[in-house]
Amino acid sequence: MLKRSVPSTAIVLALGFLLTASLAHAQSPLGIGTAEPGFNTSGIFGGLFGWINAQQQGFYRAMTGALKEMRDNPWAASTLVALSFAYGVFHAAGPGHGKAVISSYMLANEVELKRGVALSFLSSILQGIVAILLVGAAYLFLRGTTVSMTDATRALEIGSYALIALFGAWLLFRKLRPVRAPALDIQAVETHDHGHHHHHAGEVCSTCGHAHAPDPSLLKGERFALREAWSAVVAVGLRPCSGALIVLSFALLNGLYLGGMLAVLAMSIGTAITVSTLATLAVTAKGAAVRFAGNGSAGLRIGSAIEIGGAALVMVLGLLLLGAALQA
Amino acid sequence: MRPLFLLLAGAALAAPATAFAHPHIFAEARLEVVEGENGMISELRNVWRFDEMFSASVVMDFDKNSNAVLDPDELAEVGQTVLESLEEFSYYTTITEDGKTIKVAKPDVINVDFQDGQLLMFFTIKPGEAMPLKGKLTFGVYDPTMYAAMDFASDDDLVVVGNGFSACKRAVVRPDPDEVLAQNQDSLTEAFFNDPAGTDMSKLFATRLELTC
Repeated sequence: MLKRSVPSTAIVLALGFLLTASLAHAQSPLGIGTAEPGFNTSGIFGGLFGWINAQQQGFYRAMTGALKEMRDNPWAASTLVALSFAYGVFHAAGPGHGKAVISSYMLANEVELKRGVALSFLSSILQGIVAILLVGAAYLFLRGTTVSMTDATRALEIGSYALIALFGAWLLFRKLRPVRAPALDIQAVETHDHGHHHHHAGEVCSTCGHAHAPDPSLLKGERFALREAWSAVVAVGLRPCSGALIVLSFALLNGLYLGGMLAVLAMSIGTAITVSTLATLAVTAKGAAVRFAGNGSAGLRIGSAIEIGGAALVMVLGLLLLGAALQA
Repeated sequence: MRPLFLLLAGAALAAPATAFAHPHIFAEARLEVVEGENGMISELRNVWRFDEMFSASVVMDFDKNSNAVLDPDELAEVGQTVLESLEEFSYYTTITEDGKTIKVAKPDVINVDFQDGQLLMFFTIKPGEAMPLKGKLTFGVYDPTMYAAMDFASDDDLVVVGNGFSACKRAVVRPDPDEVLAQNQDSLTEAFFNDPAGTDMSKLFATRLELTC
C-alpha cells in the first residue's frame, strides 16, 4: 500500500507545481545580466507577497543608494550593512535561495534543526562568496575576453540547477527504494567508518519485520548524511544572487571594495535567516501533520508521503529551472 | 478518501507560493508618440536612462579593451545585443487600439550612450499596422517580467507630437496596485489558471498614456 500510493502522491505534487510554475525567466530581457527565476503568480497570498515585494524593492533601492553614498562618505558603511541585511531577509522570500532544497533535505533526513540552520547559513554564505569571486574574476581576468560576466553567471546557474535536479532525484531514489536486508546495509556503513562505533545491530533487529516504511535511522549513516548535506549546500550556493552581482559590479568599478563585500556578506546573513526560518517551519509542519495522523502506519505513511513529495518537488524544480536556463 | 486528501494537499502546496521577482534595473523613461502624414501614428520615440548599478554591470560585460569605459564600438555592441534580446518582449512597448493589441515592428537600431555613469538608450519604434487617430488608444512601456522598472518621473514624460492630437483627450494613467487587485479580484484567479505566465495581468499595473480621439 505504501509503494502504490506514494508514487502517485509524488506525481500529484509535481503536477500541482507544474501548473503554477510558468515561464521561469532565467535570462534578462535586455540580454545583459541574469534574472532570478521568476515565477509570476497571483491569487491567494497575493496581498502578503505584494507587501514582501514592495519591501524588497524598497530595501534594494535604499541599499544601492547607501552604496553610492559611500563614494563620498566612507562611514556610510554601517547604513549599507543594515540595509543589505534587510534586503537579504526579504529577498530570500522570493524564488531562488535554496528554501526548497534545504527544506527537503531536512525533511528527508530528519536532522536536528540546529544542523538545518547551519546548512542554511553555509549555503547562503557560499552564494555570497561565489558572487564576490565571480565579479572579481570578471573584473580581473574576463574583461576583454569573449567570456562575459553574463556568460559566466549563466554557466554557474546551469550547474546549480543541474545539481539541484540531481539532488532531488537522489533523495527521491533513496526514499522509494524498497527495504533491504538490514544486516547488509549496516555492515556496509560500518566497514568504512573510522572512529564511529555505532552499534545499530540492536535497533535493527527490533524493528525489522515490523516497519512497513524504510526506517530513516537505517539510512542515516553519519558519513552518508554529511556528503548529502554538502551536496545540498553546493547545489544551492553555486548560483550567485543577481542583486549581489549588480551591487558588486558597481562597487568594484568605483573602488568601493570593502563596501561591496560588506553589503554582500550582510545580504547573505539576512538570506540565511529567512531560509533557515522557512526550513524550520517546513519540518515543524511535517511533525504536526504526522502527529495529527496519529501513531502507527498512517503517521508513517503521511510522513513518508511528505518526504517523498518534497524530494519530487526539488527534482521537478531543478529540471524546470534547468530547462528554462538552457532554453534562454 | 486518501487520494482526494493528497490531491487537495498537493493543490494547496502548489498554490502561489512564490513572490514576484523584483526589479533589479531602474530606468527613467520618456515616450513621444508622433503623428505622421494622413493622420496616422507614425512612430514612438523612446529615451531610457538606466541606473548607475546596472550601467556599471554593462561596462563590466562589454568593456573589451579593459579601459573601464565604453568606447563607441562597445556601445554599438550593447545596442545590438539589446536590439536582438528585446524583440521577444516587444521592446517593452504595449499598444492597444480599442482594447486590441497592436504589434510593433523591429526598430533599425538602438542607439546607446554613456553619460555620468548612466547608460542611455534611444530608439524609435513603429506600429506594425496602420493606426489612425481614432477611438481609444493606449501606449505603455514596461517590462512584463518585472526585471526592469521603467519609470516615467512626471506625466510630462509621456507626450504626443503632432497637430492631429489636439482633437484627442489625453490622460496619463498610473494604476494604484491595491485598487487594481480589489477591482479584479474575481477575474484574477480565473485568469491565473488560464494564463499562468500572468503577462496579461502586468498590463493592468503599468503606467500608460491613454488617448481618446
